[in-house]
Amino acid sequence: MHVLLIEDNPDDEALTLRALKKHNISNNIVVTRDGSDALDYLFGKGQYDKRNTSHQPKVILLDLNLPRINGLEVLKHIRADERTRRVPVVILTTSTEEQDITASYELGANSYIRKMVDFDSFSDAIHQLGCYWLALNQTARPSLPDTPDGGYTPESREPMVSETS
Amino acid sequence: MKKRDNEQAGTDLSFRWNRILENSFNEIYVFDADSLNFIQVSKGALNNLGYSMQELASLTPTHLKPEIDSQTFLAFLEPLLSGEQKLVVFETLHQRKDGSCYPVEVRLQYAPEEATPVFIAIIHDLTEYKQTLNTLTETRRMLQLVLDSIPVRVFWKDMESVYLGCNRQFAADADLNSPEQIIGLNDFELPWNTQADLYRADDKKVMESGQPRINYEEPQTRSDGANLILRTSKIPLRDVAGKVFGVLGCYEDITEQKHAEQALIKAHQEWDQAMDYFEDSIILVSLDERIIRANKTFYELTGLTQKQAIGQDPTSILHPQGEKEDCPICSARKAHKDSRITLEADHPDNPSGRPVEITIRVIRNTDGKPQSILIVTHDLTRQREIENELRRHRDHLEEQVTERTIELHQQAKIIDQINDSVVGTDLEGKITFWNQGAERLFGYLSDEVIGQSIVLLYPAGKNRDNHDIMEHIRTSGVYVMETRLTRKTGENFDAHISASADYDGKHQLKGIYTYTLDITERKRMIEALKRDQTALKSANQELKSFSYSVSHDLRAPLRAIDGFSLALQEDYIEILPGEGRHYLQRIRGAAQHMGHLIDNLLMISQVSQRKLQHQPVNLSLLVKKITAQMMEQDSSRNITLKIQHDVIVPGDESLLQIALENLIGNAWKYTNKKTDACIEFGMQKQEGSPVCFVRDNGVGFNMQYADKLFVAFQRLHSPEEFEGTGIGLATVGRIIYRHGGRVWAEAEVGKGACFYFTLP
Repeated sequence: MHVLLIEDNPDDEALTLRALKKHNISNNIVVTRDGSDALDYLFGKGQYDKRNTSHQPKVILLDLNLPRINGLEVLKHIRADERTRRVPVVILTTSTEEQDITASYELGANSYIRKMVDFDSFSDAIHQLGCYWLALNQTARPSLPDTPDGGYTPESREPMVSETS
Repeated sequence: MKKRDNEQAGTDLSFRWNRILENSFNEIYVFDADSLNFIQVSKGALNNLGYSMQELASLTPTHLKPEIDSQTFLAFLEPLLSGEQKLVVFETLHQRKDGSCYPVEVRLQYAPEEATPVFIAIIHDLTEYKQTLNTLTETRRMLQLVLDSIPVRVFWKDMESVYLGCNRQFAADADLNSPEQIIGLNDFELPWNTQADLYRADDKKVMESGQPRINYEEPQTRSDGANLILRTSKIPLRDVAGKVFGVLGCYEDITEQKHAEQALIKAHQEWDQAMDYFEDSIILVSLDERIIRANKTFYELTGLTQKQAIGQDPTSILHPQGEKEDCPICSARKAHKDSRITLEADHPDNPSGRPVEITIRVIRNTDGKPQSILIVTHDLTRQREIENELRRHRDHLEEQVTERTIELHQQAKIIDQINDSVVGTDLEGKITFWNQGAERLFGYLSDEVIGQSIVLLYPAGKNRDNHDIMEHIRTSGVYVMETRLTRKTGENFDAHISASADYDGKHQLKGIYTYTLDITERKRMIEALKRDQTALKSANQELKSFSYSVSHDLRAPLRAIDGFSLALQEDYIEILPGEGRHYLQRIRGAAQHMGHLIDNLLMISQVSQRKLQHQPVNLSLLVKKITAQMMEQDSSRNITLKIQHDVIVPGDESLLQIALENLIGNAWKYTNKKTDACIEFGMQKQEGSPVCFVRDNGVGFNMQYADKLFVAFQRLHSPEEFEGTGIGLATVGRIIYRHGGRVWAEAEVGKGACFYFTLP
């Protein structure tokens, strides 16, 4: 059981890891620094070609504003592939643009966390959402119906927004 | 002797008898029974026959009777001789001596008691009787002929109204074959039995009164169902003593005549009615100057009734004060001359008071002889009105034409003088018109170009075929284009051309007028505008990406500052001196404040750029939601809320929510030092328009700074007093302005503030 964090900003990465760690979600966190790297990891390409892709993360924390391949593009690939389409994806972003939020949900994001300047709030949100999706994934995954078109059901799409403003 | 005496006496008597017989004017013949020779013949017989006694003595009766031979005569005598009959009577002819014959009745008698038996014949001359009889028969025949020939039906009845006779026509009416069949019948047994009671009542009346009833009308139904109208007369029949013993009747079938009469009456009525429809007064005057007929209009105009007018002399109606000698109507009428006379309203012989036209027509019979005079009076008032109207229209039209002509002249003058170039060309492209504007634009004088081809104005090598333009003009009437043209100096310029058709009076295309504008300057400006627009677009785009990057990239380092400060606080709190901990706190505070500033900046930019979604918005509900949230976040506050229900305005709900959040947030914030804080929301009318307001009883502000309220980053309080970014009211202002409304505030230091806004 592991978490994949896709984040280009080292500060944010450090702080996110710290927040996860603080809430005891520190084991097996894989970090990729850009979209391309993340996709290589997920699908066992490039430097990850030895990886067993049958083991996929329990939760993916995805920053939207990424170099090379941006977050929404990454999300699209995750949802398009049989191996990854059921993995919960939590969007982490500084963006408050309405269109970003809408686009994320349309592409199959499960939650959306706004990265606030106030770190306390951000930390809380990480904790809550991380725990929620990890727990849900453990218990719910075997029973998730194998829908032909997308893989995640309306229940799993139920948005959980934690916005600390 | 006695016997002798007796004989003597007898002889005396016998002589006298003989003498009487002989002298009798009756014809008496005595002839011998044996020889049949005449013995004695009276004087009357001798006179009638023309024989003398001597001549007759040798003759027998058969000599006198050419129709009877002696055999037959003897047969007449036989019953007398045998004593079977005392008298034999027969009729035959006697022939006179001159051969003429006359009818006779012969009465024969036998006298055997005489010494020599004799026959005595008394002859009665029937000539006169026969003649009377003949005349009577003839008269009867004639009468029957008359009765049967006349069209009048004749019948006679007895006192019980039983028919005694009739003529042939009557019999035919009664469906009888001959007049005799009527005898003994009554009216109940005849085809007109439905009228029997009526007829019999009439009979009775005539017979009882003894007075005839002449020429009255009555109905009669025939066997074929026809209903006829009869004209009947009945007279009582009297016997020699003058006693009424029956009734004689006659009738004529006047059905057709009656129908014709009725049709004629109807035709007359119809004609009268038709005449009454005319608005013209119509009268018919007899040759002896009497009104025979008149129509309704005549009665209406004169005020006379039909009784007063018919038979009246028209002159007396026309000239109640006595006839005038020179009246044209009267003289034309009396002269029996067809004519038409127009009299104006003020003519002395025109009593109508209106202009009239009088038509006089002589009605003639088939021989052309005048019979009556028709006078038609036509009121010309309406016609005069129409004429006047027409005249007015014509005058008006002439006026308009004059005005229009002047206008056209002026237009032509204006066209010549206007600044813009107007060039006229004919169908071949030859210049026919060149105004002052064209002189200025192209540099050619009118004289230089009139008659030249329009090609002159196009740059060399780019001679537009005039044909193209013409085709457009022919189909659509106008042609608009932009092109390059050449001035006299050879300089080319951008021109906007609009050409329109020039038609002649018969709407035939005869050329075009071209209106030319030098658009060099305009084109240059458009180019500049386009460049500016592009620059603006890219600037906007840059601004947008700038906002985006602000939201992402500016916040990231702040988050790092805050996050790592927190990490320091959490992980190294023991080794940090008190002052260091305080500094960390200050770092975090500053970072978070800057985060708010960025958020607010982003919001104000969003507010400015968002497209408005107009719909009815219940502001009261929004206010309740916002205050409820605030209560939840800051439950320590004790605030009285006064929220008017259902203030509904048109607008963009999410933007209005942001505005209210800021206004109520301010009220919340600036009342936090009050123990009895009160925030009020509602709507009131100001100068007839609805105005929304948010009022608080907080610290208020000095109205001196009211104009700085809605400017971004302008704050009236220090951060120490009240936290804030200075963006809130600027955002409110933006939102209200974008809705087309107004926002303003009223306040007093220490007593609170009230923010008003309107939403049209």
